[in-house]
Amino acid sequence: MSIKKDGVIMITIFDDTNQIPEGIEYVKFNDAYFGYSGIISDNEDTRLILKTIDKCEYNNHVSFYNRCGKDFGALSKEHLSTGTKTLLNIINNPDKCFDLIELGHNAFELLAHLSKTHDGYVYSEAPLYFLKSTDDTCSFKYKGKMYDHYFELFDTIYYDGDFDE
Amino acid sequence: MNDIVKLNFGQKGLHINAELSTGYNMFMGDSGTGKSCFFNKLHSYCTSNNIPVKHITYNNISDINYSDFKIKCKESKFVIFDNGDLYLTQDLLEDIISDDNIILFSVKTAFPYLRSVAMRSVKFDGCELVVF
Repeated sequence: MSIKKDGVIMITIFDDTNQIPEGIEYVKFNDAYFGYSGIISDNEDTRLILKTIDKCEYNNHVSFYNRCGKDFGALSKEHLSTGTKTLLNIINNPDKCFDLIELGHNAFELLAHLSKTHDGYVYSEAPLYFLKSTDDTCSFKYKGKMYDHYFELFDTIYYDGDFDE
Repeated sequence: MNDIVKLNFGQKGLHINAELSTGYNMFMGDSGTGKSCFFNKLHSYCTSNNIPVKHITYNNISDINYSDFKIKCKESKFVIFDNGDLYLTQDLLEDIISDDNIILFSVKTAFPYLRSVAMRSVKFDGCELVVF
């Protein structure tokens, strides 16, 4: 986690790769990036992601216990779902921009939660209609504007999005 | 009319019960439901039982010779596309279908103009994985 110059922790959303600032690497293939560079950190947010999306438990930085239980031993990090890998990529690499194309709807809900405690950059070609928040709060920056409330962001995405004539 | 194919097999402590159709089987839905897990297990099951299968992911799509690939897909019983949003097109899907092959693909965004697609879901609970 890091705090930006203006002191606000947030995840910045881009809908055009040309908007991604110079120096911020764009990562399209989340599975591949996680395979080479990803780790399963031992912290509260990682455990929440593992439990919520893959119904699994942390073991160490390269393996986890799957939903069958510990009797079957630990599985390699490669076996995590793409949604989990994408979220772990985002929270562990605040200097890179990750594509959300493979993120499931359930993972979008966690993204809103994570935006309040992690800096990061994400890119989505499609309008983020599936972005959700359990408590209406978030910390996203979209098209240069900060959003603390999910429904304000959703209005912007929905009404300013692809429905323009 | 597409035929229904039922599969029932176990692998490394995981029991799999799947209902698929000949033609297109589209897997959508949340992250972590077991789509990739099912695809990997099906690939292993086919390989160990000498059932022709093609399994494509973002990893190996770039290595493919397209004309050979089309023929091999038509000759395969199962053609599996995981992480389809990254590379899959409707043209590719239409080019590889045969009378009796079973094409499985996972995407987050549907192909609205593809004909005769069976929507499939995965339920992965404990050591039981069900495709319906």
